[in-house]
Amino acid sequence: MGLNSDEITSIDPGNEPGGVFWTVPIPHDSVHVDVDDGTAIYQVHNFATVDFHDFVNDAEFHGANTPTTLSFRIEWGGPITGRRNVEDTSNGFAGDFVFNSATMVWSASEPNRPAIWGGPAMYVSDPANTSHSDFAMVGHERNGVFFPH
Amino acid sequence: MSLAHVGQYMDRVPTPRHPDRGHAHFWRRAKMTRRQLMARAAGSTAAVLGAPLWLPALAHAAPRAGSAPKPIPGGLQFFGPGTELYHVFPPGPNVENSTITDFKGAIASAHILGTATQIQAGKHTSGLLVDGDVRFMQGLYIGVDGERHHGTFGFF
Repeated sequence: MGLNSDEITSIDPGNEPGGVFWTVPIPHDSVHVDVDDGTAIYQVHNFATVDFHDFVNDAEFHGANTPTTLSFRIEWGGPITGRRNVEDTSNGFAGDFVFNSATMVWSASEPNRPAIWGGPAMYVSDPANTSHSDFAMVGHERNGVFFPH
Repeated sequence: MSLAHVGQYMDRVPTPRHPDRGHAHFWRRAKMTRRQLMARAAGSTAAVLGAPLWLPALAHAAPRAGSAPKPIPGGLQFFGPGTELYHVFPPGPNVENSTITDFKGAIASAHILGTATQIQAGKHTSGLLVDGDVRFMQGLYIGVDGERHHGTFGFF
């Protein structure tokens, strides 16, 4: 069973079968959002998570991972390219969404990354203005028992 | 958040006409970015609709802090029909971007590409491709305890 030789890291909170996917509680002040303007900031500093090395080890095998200390800042903004009111009865969600763009800057430290993955490592992204999004959205949503009201 | 060597990743994606199933095509499948894999699964029969969970009356007590959220009922079977269901859809304009259900609040979602440097064993490797599927949800939700709560959840 070969691993993906191209992928170096797969940093996320992991997921338990049947549970929420790559989703964890974060401090309330990690998020600042203004849906009307389509702007948002999502940031964490020295957040404890894990690195599964590659997607298949992560998602399919729920495999070995190494502790990672992650920091990032993501900003939504720029020209608004669209607004959409959605009511999806098939999937049971609705909302008002604003579409624009987003950028990201991040770093991660893995002092205990195992030797099989090359040993201890750090990652530092290039500046935020060198990143680009092919999809970015900010909105209000309601689903489950809150849909459609 | 995923890193890969630039130039060794995006150009090896199999066409959607021939979805990989099982381990015979494991290698090709592994060449896909996380979002590409999600998106392709969404376009196949492996997408599972999230039929709304119609629960009886909502609790109207004041929201409390804490309690884990519940996953959305639908999602994707990345590795084909009959395999594990992952309660997530790829980020996009016409799909459910939330990963938690019984939720009402603010949400943001983005698929961001960039570059980064790995520092390992004294060696700096720059120009690595970053593939970031990032989201957050902040607002009212009904937790696994059946009670209303306010919370902020990050996806990365």
